[in-house]
Amino acid sequence: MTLTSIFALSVGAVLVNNFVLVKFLGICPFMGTSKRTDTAVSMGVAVTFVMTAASMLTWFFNDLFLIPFELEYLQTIVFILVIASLVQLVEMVLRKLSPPLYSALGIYLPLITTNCAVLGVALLNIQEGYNFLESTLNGFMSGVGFLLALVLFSGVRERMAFADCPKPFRGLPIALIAASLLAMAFMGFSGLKIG
Amino acid sequence: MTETLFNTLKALAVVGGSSILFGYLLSVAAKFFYVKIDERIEKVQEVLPGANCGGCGYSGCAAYAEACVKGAPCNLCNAGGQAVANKIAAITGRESGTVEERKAFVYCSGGGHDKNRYEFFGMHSCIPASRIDGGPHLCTFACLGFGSCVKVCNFNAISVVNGVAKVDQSKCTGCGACVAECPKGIIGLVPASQNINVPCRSHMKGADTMKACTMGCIGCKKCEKACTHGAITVKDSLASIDPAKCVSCGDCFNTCPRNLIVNIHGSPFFRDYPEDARPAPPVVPAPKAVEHAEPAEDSRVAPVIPPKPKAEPAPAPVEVKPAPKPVEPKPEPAPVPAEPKVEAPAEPALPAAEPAKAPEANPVNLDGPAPKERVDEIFENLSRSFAELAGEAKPEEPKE
Repeated sequence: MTLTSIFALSVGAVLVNNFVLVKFLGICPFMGTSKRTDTAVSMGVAVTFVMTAASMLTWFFNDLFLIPFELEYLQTIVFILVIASLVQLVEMVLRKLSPPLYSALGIYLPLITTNCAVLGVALLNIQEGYNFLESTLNGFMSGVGFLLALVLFSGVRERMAFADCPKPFRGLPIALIAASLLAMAFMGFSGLKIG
Repeated sequence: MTETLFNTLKALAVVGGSSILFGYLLSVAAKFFYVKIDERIEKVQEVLPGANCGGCGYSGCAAYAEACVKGAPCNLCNAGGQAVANKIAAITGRESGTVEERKAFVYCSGGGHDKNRYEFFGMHSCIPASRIDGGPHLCTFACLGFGSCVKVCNFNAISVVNGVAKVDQSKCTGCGACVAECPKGIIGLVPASQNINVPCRSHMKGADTMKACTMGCIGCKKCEKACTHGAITVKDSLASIDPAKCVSCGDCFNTCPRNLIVNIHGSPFFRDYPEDARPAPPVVPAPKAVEHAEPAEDSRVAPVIPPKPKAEPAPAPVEVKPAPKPVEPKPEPAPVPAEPKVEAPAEPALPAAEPAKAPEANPVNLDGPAPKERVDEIFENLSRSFAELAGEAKPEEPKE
């Protein structure tokens, strides 16, 4: 893996193929935790961590058990199983080893368990045919892209809270419209090719 | 056929096997990473109001519950009040302190909410608006009326009425969230028994206040002269009431030329009753103490005012009165170094025993402002003490 390909993969995962704003995965937590910037950052960091770990573990599982037995069609179910167990384990470890971190991020971990963005990154790694390192990097950078989208949108939403909005649009409707505008902005990155 | 069966079995084996494996691993991990929680924390948490207001100083009810079990005082929750403090004490097996009942009060009358210096088209939020030279109103100490405090209140106790925030005393629990949020710092916490207050924090001079607000305090000192307990003082063109000294008697209430002083709870002042039918002034009910807790020394309990004395008890140091009056110039708030040189010759006239006797000898007379002689006496003693402190006049030997 050359430096260029690493850079290309990173930029691709963060901007060009942003999970939330381009691929439209993981919109539930995106809407739910983006009301304030601090919850957005916490959620983004938790998702990044889980995405990275999930990418690594699911790649292993796929390589060790599914491909040798020609059971690629079971990827979806098995990956869900792997991800759910992983998140449970992470929660337990975090609670024991770092109570302050647990109280900051712990409540978001159960929300991530069945987050389609996490499952999406695991499946997309296989689809793109990445090796282990590339999968890990893709998982990490997709998480970073998720974090970026969340932070940007929380900033927008915090300002929108004070705006004079027409009554039928207040709350979720105007948030969805703003998210679509942000997605249109990210369309500007499509077609960006590096190396 | 067998191939399909074989494939199905393979699939089942992989999925089933991995789920069993993961389940086993998780149960092992659960034992290995087991965190012991004190069950008292949960019990305390159930007892707490659950509003997460932060009034106790911790980041939420869960944090406070944990702190209580670890040894924090039980009486920090103002929202829950004395009842909750007693319950926490019962669960943790410690003494409950007394919870001081406090209520929020907005120090703005809203009289200037329509008088603006500039048109404001920004975000309708108090914090950004206050950054723009103190806000759009003529009075820079005024409530902006955009409602940051309303957003922060967990109990729906504060609302914006006619452009000014107003606290609903029945709902307010004294948690202090609005006090911390207000960017102009005009919300304060007063004891729950305080029935009278001055809703103004404007230090602007009288003439400016008259232009900026229909009700603001101009610092005329009429209330200060009317108060017989020394509770209301005017400083920098603003009157403020010291809740430690105020007994909510209502002396100052009708003296304000701007009708600014408010009756917070709406209960009548005991001054408004005829003399012989005066009820006892509002008394803060003693909290229901846990049996091993000490009873509270509640200094806010208003003293029972004695009936109008039929015969004035003769003030003991009668001989003092003629002495200070004629000789030296009227005591002004002049710089202290100048005065002792003038007053030193007159010092021997005051017997040294006088300051000690003064408090009992002059009982509080409620039928009007303090007598001029008494006021002069106080100023004398004060200047003398300052002179002594400054080292410029030695304390005199008693000369009989």
